[in-house]
Amino acid sequence: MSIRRHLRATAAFAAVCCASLGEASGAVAQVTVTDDIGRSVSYAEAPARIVSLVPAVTEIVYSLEEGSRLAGRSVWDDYPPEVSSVPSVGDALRADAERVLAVNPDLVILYAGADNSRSVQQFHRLGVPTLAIRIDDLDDLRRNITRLGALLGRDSAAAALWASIDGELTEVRRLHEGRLRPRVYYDVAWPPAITVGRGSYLDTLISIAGGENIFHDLAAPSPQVALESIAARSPDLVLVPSGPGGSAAEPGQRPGWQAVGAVRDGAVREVDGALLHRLGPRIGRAARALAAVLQPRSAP
Amino acid sequence: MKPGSRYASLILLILLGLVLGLFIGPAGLSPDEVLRALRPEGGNEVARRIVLELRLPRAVAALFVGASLAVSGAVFQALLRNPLAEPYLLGVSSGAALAAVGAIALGLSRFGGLLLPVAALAGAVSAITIVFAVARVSDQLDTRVLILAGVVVSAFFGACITLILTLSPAETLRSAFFWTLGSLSGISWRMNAVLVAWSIPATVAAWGLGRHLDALALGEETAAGIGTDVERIKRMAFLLASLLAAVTVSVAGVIGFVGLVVPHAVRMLWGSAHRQLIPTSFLAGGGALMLMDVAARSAGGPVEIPIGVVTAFFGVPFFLVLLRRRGGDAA
Repeated sequence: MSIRRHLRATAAFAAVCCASLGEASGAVAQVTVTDDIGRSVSYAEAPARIVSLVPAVTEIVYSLEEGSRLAGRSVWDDYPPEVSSVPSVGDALRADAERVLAVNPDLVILYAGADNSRSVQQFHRLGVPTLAIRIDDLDDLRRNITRLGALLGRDSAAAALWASIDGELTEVRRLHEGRLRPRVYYDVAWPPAITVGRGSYLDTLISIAGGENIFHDLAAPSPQVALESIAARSPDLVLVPSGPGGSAAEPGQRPGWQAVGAVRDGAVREVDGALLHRLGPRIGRAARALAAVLQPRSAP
Repeated sequence: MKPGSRYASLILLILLGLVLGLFIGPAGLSPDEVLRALRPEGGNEVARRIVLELRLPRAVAALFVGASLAVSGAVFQALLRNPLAEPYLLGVSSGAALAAVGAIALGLSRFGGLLLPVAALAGAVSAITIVFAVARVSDQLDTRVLILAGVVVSAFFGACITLILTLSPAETLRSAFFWTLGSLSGISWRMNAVLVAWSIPATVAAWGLGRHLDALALGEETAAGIGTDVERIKRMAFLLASLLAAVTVSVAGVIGFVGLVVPHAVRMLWGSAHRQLIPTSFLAGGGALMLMDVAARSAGGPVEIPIGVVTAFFGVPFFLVLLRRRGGDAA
């Protein structure tokens, strides 16, 4: 464990301790939560006007039954359906500070990253607390559920939420134990050919659902690969996510793709892009949907 | 170097490009596997498909895209009497990119592989038509207006592209953005057929204009004085060079430096008479892009490096060395 991760874990643990102290005593105790860029926010009472610019966080807040605390969301938020009644404040990256300020937030949750570092500083100058978070793998998801549970005073609900996700993932994994694992090409975009590497949670999800990503050896989350490499690694299945994140044309109609055996043999399956492309509380369901495609005979 | 050995060495360059293009690639096939794949019904299925359906059409495309860009650049440099002239100067690339990005944003690209090239070609031709119409005043083509109109139309289309990308969902952006960067990946035989069917006659026609282009390079008055129909030659040169660029953009996106550097390099090495500049640019451009595409495909393992990066990496230092050696008489 790196020092940074260790610090992060310690901070999360401290936050949980503080929160549970508050819960236990029933008294008004200060809750402090630290984000992924080292900034902390403290609340005596759970924030009541949250702007969430991270769709997965929005879903977590609803899963903890605290949706009424949302004062704003990004244009990308589309789940659960009730979220449409929360006012949109625009883009999730390089947020429009004016629109965010207009809903009078007491906390803005946004992605940590180069795109947002300016926004964080700007909100800081404007006196609006921020939580900049990373949510790139299952570990991040667990941490963020715990963190939001602490922040909203819903620790036990958060623990239950993670337990149910974890249980679902374990169950999906067990379904296909000992079976042959199809080798999968996950078609993020074309052209150029962009897929997922082991830096992406989708690589993990494919493995949980009973497949094997042919580009697991690449560390980048979404590497661009040569068509020739896809043909040479000869996947058993090509997965094409649907929705706006989906690829340009059916692989069979793309020039050159007949060189990929799976495409020639029609081993191309569409998967639900809207469900798979969000690492949030529905990830267990996403794994189940993926398993239904990768291991059709194991479905319960 | 004698003209004969010039052509021989350029053809050797192309053959080298073809051999490397067939034998080298991210799939890491052994030379033996490639050789077996090249025999009729030989080799294993995967190797045969990689060699015959991916590497071969790609090498052919690199040859004709590079050749077309170099010829287009050579003609533009003569027509505009401007050493900075290159195939994309007059708005061809931004017209093609706008149409392609528009088609992607509207979701039309789902309808099949050939829709994008067709849209791009239509966009490029529209840009050419607008620039041509603006620069043609009372039956004369003003080359200074041509450059200005081209640059301004490019800027306008660029703004339209940015607007579309700003208003469309983030996921479609990457595809649209990469499309404009240029790539020889996934080129089909059908696209190659279009490329060959247009680039060879257009190059022959440009070669036919050779002496007139020599005259034009001396200045329009001088050219008219020695009996050249200046306006007709300018119109033909403009249309030939623009359409050559348009066809390459529609199949391979925007690939920089080849159209600028290759004609200049050929001129510095072997002189600027267009009767030999056009065919040598054709061969040199083709051979150079074939070799650079081999580098793009094989340098990064399974990851492909954008061809525009490679052309800049090789083209710029090579050109700077030439400039340094030949000094001021280059342009």
